[in-house]
Amino acid sequence: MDVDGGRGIHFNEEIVVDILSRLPVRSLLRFKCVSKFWMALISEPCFTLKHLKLAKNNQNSPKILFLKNMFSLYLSSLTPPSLSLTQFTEDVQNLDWLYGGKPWSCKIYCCYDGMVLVGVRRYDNINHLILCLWNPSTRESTVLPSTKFLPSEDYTCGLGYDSTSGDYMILKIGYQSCSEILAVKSGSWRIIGKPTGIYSSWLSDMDSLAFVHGAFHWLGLSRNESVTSYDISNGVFKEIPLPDGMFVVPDMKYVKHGLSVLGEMICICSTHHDQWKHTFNVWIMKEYGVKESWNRLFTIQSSDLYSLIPEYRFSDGEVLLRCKHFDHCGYIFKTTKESSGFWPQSRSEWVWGARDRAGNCETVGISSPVESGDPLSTNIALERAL
Amino acid sequence: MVKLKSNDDKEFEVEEAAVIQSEMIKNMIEDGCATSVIPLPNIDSKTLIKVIEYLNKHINMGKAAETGEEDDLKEFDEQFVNMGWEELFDVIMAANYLNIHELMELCCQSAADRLKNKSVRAVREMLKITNDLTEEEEQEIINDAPWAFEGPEIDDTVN
Repeated sequence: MDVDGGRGIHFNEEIVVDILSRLPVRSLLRFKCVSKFWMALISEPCFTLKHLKLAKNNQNSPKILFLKNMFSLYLSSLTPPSLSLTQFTEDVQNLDWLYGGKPWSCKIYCCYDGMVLVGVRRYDNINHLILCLWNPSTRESTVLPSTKFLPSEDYTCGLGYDSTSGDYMILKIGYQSCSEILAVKSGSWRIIGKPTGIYSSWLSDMDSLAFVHGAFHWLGLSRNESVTSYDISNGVFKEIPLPDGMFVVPDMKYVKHGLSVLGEMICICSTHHDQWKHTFNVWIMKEYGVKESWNRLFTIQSSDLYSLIPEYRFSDGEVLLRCKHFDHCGYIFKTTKESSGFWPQSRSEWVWGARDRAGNCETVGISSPVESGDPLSTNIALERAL
Repeated sequence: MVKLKSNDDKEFEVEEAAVIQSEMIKNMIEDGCATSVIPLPNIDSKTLIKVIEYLNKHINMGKAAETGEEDDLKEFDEQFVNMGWEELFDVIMAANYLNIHELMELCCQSAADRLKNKSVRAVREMLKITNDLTEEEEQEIINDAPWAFEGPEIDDTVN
């Protein structure tokens, strides 16, 4: 076996990269200390990309990120198919709060490529919502530039990646009219037009805008009620038809609709409420943009649950659900399997929000997560109650 | 049958169906350059025996699923990578040279699994790497993410 100083055993660079790209971020941050050659290699943007790509393709260990008991953040692996909900709290990870002190409130909107979009309000200015990108696997975060939106205006936002420009994008859609988009590298917000013919957006039941197929999605009110999409690479608004018989505007029966992404497909959960029970119908659009491909995935009736969000679809088809239960504060998790039980069982444990879907990618956030466009895994939504 | 010759001049006969899992040899056969013995100047006989063992077991990979041999193959793979460090690296070099994708995957994953929780010192020793960072440079890297250097799982042993 040949040996060569800083490189060690005479592997060519390709082999070293092949081995290192399979390591978790924590190991990689440590192994930058091995030698100059390793440090340079692990710091390369193309290594970061390779690591992310491999992590995204590896569907073996999806992870979920959630906030429990106010301010303890947990990142945990989900083990399909027999999800053991008691294993949820295995790996504890604390959010590195920005500016030191704990915030007054925190909302985690969504996750893409392992990066998490977070909204934070500080005690010294609770009216000002600060948006941050956070990479939990490197524990790095970046405050995003502030926006022209009025501080009081409600909006929701989403995080996505534009493969044309190779940049991450954040879209904010206001309840009134205004919409802005931020290309993370450029660092400045740009106002985008309004979709023609769409009068208003129906965002109340969405944690964040759903990003799939290079476009953001939310429910829009127009002559034909539809899913509104905004394609970030060409800046075009489009409408995607809903399943027949579904209406966005709430009437006496339909309490609400939620739009999310499940296994790379647009997913709508409509909640129907009558006196004693809630009925949740979950639909997925199997073929993007094709109305005929809307399929009802499952229906759940319950007298205990009053809210349901599909979070993650395991390879055996079972779906992880985040629910609100009449007897519990915060959220509980269960799966579509009848016998799944739920977590947490103790009423003293509160889960304020959680979520995954990025599957499992972990990130090598070597420089700031923004510059290297790093990944990790997960996504949440939580609003701190004081 | 195809004849392979290791760098210590030993010859091995391998079924063509097995040996074409190597992209390199497959190309040689397709180009008609594999009429007599194929010399492999980068691979010693000990390593070549391991590689051939793998190729013979993984013959007709596609059929394994149909015949319910998938678990058997998995078990074989687990046993196969149960070898010493240096042996594993020799197999990785050979798999890379012969371009055997699945074997490369298997062995690189095994190397990564073994390195995952190792301390910096242990990694240097296992891979015979000389530290060429200055103390200041090292401290800077540690300061960037001190949490990556602490923890009960970090293993300082070399094996």
